[in-house]
Amino acid sequence: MKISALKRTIVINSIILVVSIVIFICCIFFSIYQIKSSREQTNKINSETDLIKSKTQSIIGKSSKAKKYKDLYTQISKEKRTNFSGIKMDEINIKLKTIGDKYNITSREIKIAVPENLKDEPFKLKSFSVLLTTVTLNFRAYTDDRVFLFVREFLKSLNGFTILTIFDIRKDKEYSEDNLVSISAGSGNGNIIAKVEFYWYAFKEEDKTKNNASRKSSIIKMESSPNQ
Amino acid sequence: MFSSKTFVITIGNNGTIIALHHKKNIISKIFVEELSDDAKFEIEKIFKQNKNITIYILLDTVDQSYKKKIYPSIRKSDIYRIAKRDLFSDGDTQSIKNFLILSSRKTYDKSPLHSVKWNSETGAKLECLFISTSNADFINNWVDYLIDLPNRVVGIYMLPAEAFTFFKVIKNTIDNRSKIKNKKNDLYLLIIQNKVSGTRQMVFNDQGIIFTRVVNYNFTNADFIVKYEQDIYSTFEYLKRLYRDVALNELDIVNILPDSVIDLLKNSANPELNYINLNPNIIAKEVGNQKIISGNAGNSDLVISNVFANSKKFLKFTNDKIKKLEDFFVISTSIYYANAVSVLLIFLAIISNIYFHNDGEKIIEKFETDRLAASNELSRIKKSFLMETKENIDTITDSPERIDDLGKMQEIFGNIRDKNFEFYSQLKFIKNYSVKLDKFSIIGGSINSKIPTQIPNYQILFAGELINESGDIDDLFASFDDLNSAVRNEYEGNDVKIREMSRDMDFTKKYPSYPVTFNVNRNIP
Repeated sequence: MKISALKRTIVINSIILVVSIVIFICCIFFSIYQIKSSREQTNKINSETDLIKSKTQSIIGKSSKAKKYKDLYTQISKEKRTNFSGIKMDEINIKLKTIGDKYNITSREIKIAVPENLKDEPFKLKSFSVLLTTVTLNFRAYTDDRVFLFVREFLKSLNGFTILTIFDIRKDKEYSEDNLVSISAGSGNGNIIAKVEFYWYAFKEEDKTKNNASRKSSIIKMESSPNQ
Repeated sequence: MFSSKTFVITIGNNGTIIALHHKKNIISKIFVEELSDDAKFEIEKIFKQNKNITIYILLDTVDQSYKKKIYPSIRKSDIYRIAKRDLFSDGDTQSIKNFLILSSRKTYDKSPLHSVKWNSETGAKLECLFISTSNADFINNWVDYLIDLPNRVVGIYMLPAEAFTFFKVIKNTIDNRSKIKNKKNDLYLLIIQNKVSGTRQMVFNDQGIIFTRVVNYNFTNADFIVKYEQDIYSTFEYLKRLYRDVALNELDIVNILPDSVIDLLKNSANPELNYINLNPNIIAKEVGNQKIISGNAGNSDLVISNVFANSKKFLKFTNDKIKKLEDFFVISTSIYYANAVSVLLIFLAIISNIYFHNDGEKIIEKFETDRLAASNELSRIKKSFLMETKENIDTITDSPERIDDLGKMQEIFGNIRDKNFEFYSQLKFIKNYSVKLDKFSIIGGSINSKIPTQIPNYQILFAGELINESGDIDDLFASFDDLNSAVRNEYEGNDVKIREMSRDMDFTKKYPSYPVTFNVNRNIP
C-alpha cells in the first residue's frame, strides 16, 4: 500500500470525520435545544394550568365565601341591612326618646366617644365603612324588666352591631305613696338606676365617612333627657 | 480489512512463493525465482483481484541468525529496554532484526532438562532470543515492490521462528511416532525441505525455536546419508553447549522430506539416530487440508505458509518503510474507526432526537390536555358562579359587595352573644331565699374592640338585703349559709366571692335583715 494512497485516505477520512463530528455536535445541540424547548413549553403550559387552577380555586373560594356571606346576610334584619347612616345624634336622640318613652325610661343620658373609622381587617370592606365608638347610657326605670327591654330594643334599633361591656342596675330606694302617685301621673322617676356601656360598630356609606373620622378621644355629651 | 484471506510471501534464496490463503485453503499460489518484469506481471494479476488482502512477508533466507542472551533477575519492562538497547548497539544497522523475551525460569524449572545458563548457580531468570537476517538486495526489492502494491504490508516474519506454530500443530503426530521411551528432554530436530531455501534444520523445544540452519544436499549423491548424519551430529554438538546431559539417542529427529529421500534414510543403520519420517502430504493432512499441496510434493513451504497465515504471529520485523507505512496505517485505521464511531453516534443522536421529539410532544400533549381540563373546569365554575350571582341580583336588591360586607360583619358579630339578660335570668333562684336585690352589674372582661370576639369572661355582681323575719341571729346565720350554699351551687365551677358576715355582731340584737354581696367571675366556654 503506497504511503501516498494512505495519506490520501487519511485526508479523506479526516474530512469525513470532521464533517461527522460537526453533524454530531449539531445533533447534540439540536437535542439540547429540543429538550430545552420542550421543557420551556411544558413549563409554560404548566404555569398556565397552575394559573387557571389557582383562578378556579379562587373563584371556588369566592363562590363559597359569597354563598356563606349570602346565608349570613339573610340572618341580618332588614333595618340593619338598609341603615348605613353612621352615627347621627339626631336619629339617636329620637330613638332614645321614642324607645325610652315606650318603657317609661327617665333621666336618659347618653355619652358617645368620638368615633374611629376602622380600616384594617376584618373591617376592610368595599361597600361601607365601620365606625367604632364607645357609648355610655345612664337612665332610670320603674322596673328592672323595663331596663332590659329598653336596652334590648335600643341596641337593636342602632345601625350596625353592638357589644355590651358593662351593665349595671341599682335600686336606690323603695317607692313611697307619693312616688307611686307621681308615677301614675306620668311625672315621677323610677327607682332603678341603670348604667350601660357598649361598643357600637356603626355602618356608614364609604364616601360619607371620610370627613367624619376624627381621632380625638374627648367625650361628647350628646343628649339629656328633659326629665333629668 | 476484515477479510479472512491473507497473502503470505515466502522469500528465500532460491525464489519466492506468493500464496493467497483462505482459512485452510490456498486459493492461488505462484513461485517466482526472481522479481523480473514477467514475474511482476504474473504477480499483479493475483494482487489486482485482491486489493484489500493484507500481505505477510515470511523470510526463509540462509543467513538467519538466532542468538540467546541471558539477563539477570530484573523486571520484564526493564529487560525489554535493555534488550532493545543491546539490539541496536551491536553495530549492525543494516540487518533486519528483533528480539523475543522467552519464558521465565519458573516455567523452565518444570522441564527435566535444564538449559546450561538456567542453573541455580547463575541465578539468571530471563532469556532473550535475538533474531536477525541480512538486509539483502532481493529482500529489499521484494519489500519495496510489495509496499507499492495497493495491499497493506503488515510486516516481515522469519519462517523458522514462526514455524514453531507449525511444530506445535504436528507435535502430537511426532510424539505418537517417536521410538524414544521415557524421553528426558523436550527437544525436537525438524529437517524440512523448502522450495525457496532448500533443506533446513530447526530445533524446537516446548518454548520455541532453539536453533536453525540451512543444510543443502544433493540427494542423489552417494554420500548423502553420511553428510546428512554429520550435520545432525554437528547440530547435536551445538545443543550440548546449550543443555546439560542431553543425549543424541533421546533426540527426536523429524524428517519432513520427499518420499524418495525418506526411502534413502530408511537405509541408515545408525542406532543413535531416532528418525521419525514424514512426508509433506502427511503433514498437510495433520494441518487440516491435504489438498493444499500436490500428492507427490516434496516441499513444505506451502504447509508452513498456510499454518502461519491461520495462526497468531510470533515476532514481527520491520524496516523504516514498513514502519512508516504502519504508522500511517494506524492513523488511517484510527480515523476509520473514529468515523465509524462518529457515524454510530450520529445515528444514536438522530434516534435520540426522534425519541426526545416524540416524548416531548407526548408530554406537551398531556400537559395541554390538563390545561384544557383546567380551563373547562374554570369555565364551568365561572358560569356557575355567575349564575349564582345573577340569582342574587334577581332576588336581592343589595350589590354583591354589600352582601359580602354584611355577611362578613354578621360572621363576626353573629357569634358574639349578649349574655346580660341570661345572667340576670339566672338569678331566679334568689327568690327562694328571701333576698331583696338592689344591685346587679355585669362587667365584661377585656376585649379587643378592633378585632372583636366573644367576651371571654364576665364579672357578675349582685347585692341586696337578706330578710330575716324572726330577727333571730341564729335564723340569720342559717339563712345566710343556705343562701351561700345556693349561690355556690348555682355558680359551681366559677370563682364566687361572698362578703362574709361581720365578726363583731351583737348577739343580743335583732337582725330583721342583713346586707349580702356576691361576686362571680364567670368564664364563658
